[in-house]
Order: sequence, then C-alpha cells, then structure tokens
Amino acid sequence: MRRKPGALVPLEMAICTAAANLRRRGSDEFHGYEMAKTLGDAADTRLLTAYGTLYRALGRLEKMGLVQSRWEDPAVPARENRPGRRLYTLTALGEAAAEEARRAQKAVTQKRPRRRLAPA
Amino acid sequence: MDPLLFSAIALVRGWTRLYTSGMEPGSRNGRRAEIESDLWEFHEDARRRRYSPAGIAAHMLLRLVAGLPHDVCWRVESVDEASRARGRAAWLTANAAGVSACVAAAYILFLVTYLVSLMPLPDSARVERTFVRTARSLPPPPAPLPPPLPPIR
Repeated sequence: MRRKPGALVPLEMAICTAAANLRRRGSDEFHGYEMAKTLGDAADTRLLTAYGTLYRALGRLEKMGLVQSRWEDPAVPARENRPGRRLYTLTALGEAAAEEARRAQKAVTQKRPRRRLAPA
Repeated sequence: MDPLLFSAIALVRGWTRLYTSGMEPGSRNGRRAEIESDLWEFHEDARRRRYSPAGIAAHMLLRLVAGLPHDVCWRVESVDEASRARGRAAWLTANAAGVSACVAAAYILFLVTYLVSLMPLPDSARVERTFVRTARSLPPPPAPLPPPLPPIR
C-alpha cells in the first residue's frame, strides 16, 4: 500500500520526537547509531532499529526537509581513529512535526478510557 | 576478533555492497559509509557494555535481516529518482538544443540576407538586354477585342 506523500509513518514521527528530545538535552546533532539507541531506550527494547529501516526513514525525513545532514569534518574521525559520522539536525519543520506528534500522542492517551476495577 | 562477530560484520558489509552496487556514487558511498559508522559505533558501544561477541553478532544479524525489505525499497526508490532526474536532464537538453538550433537558423538567415544586400546590383544595361531578348522570344500579344455593339432599341 502506498502512503500519502508527506505523511509520516510512526518511525519517522518517533525519530522527530527523539531528535527534539535530544535537542532539549543540548545535543543538536545526532548520528544514525545514536538515534537507533535513543529510539531503543524510548521504546524500552533491547533490539535496535534495523539498518535498512532506520537509514531509509532518515533519508525520507531529509527529503521532506524535516532533518538535514552533513558529514563531519574528516579530521575528527581521523583523530579518534573511527569511521566518519553523518550528522543529522532537526529543522524547524521537523520540530513542528515532533510537536504535532507529541500533541497527537497526548490526545490519544487522554482519550483512552481508564480501566475500572470490577466489583467483587 | 571472534569468528562469529567477524562473519556478521562481513555479512552486513557484503549485503550493503550488494544492494548499493551500480548506484550513483553519492548515494552508494554515503550509504556504505553510514553503515560502516553504525557498525563501528555499535561494536564499540556493545564492547563497553561488556556484551559477548556472539550477542553482538546476533544483534547485528537481526538488524540486518529486519531491514532487508527496506534496503531493497530504498534502492528501487533511489534508482527511480536517478532515472527520473536523467529523464528531466535529457528533456532539458533536447529543449535547449531545439532553441539553440532555432536561434542559429534565424541568425544564419539574417546573415545571408545581410550579405546579399551588400552585394553590388547587376549591371543595368545587361539586365535591359536580357529583358529585351526575353521579350523578343515571346509570342506576339493577341489582337485587341472589337468594341462592343451598340444596344438594340
């Protein structure tokens, strides 16, 4: 099934929300593995998001203008003896999408009826 | 390095190479570098947390297998986009070539007209001789028609 252009799937909304949370904690940029870990922590699962799923979602978000990316300065990974990271930043549009997702999540949580104990 | 972990990393790298092969260098190298970075970060993080190499390998393989359909979809989407971009480029090139050909034709026409206008006119005596010779070779003009008859009363 094809989805509507511009519509976000739950993973993309989760990425926007996680990126907004990271920003609130003072980390403006994130890389793929960091996002996978943040999503895993948020969902309280040990299995991280699959490679293909995560990077395809990030690519789609970038195309939609919700995140933007850049490759870090090659001197940094060379100094730290590791592969270079692609760093993503949430754009203003992404921030708005995260806020929208948060509001929608809140509305769903409030609508859910509370369980009442059945009389004994 | 543990052989199981080595095999898992090799599998992830091999699959990434396979599904990105034949793509545009930008997309291909970007995706490969991104997966390489993820593998390294994950390995280092798991090692710091003292996960067993077999556990790390299993986790890597699970992440690989779960993402296979998305990898294939990503490739199809990227190749489609690239071919669409090529189509757009071909259309623009054809249009530009057409406009250039029209401008060139108009310029050549103008140039030829201008050069012809600069050329000296033919000698008037020669033109007259040619005209007279042509006139003589033509048959004589037909006799004029008789005047109309007066109306009958």
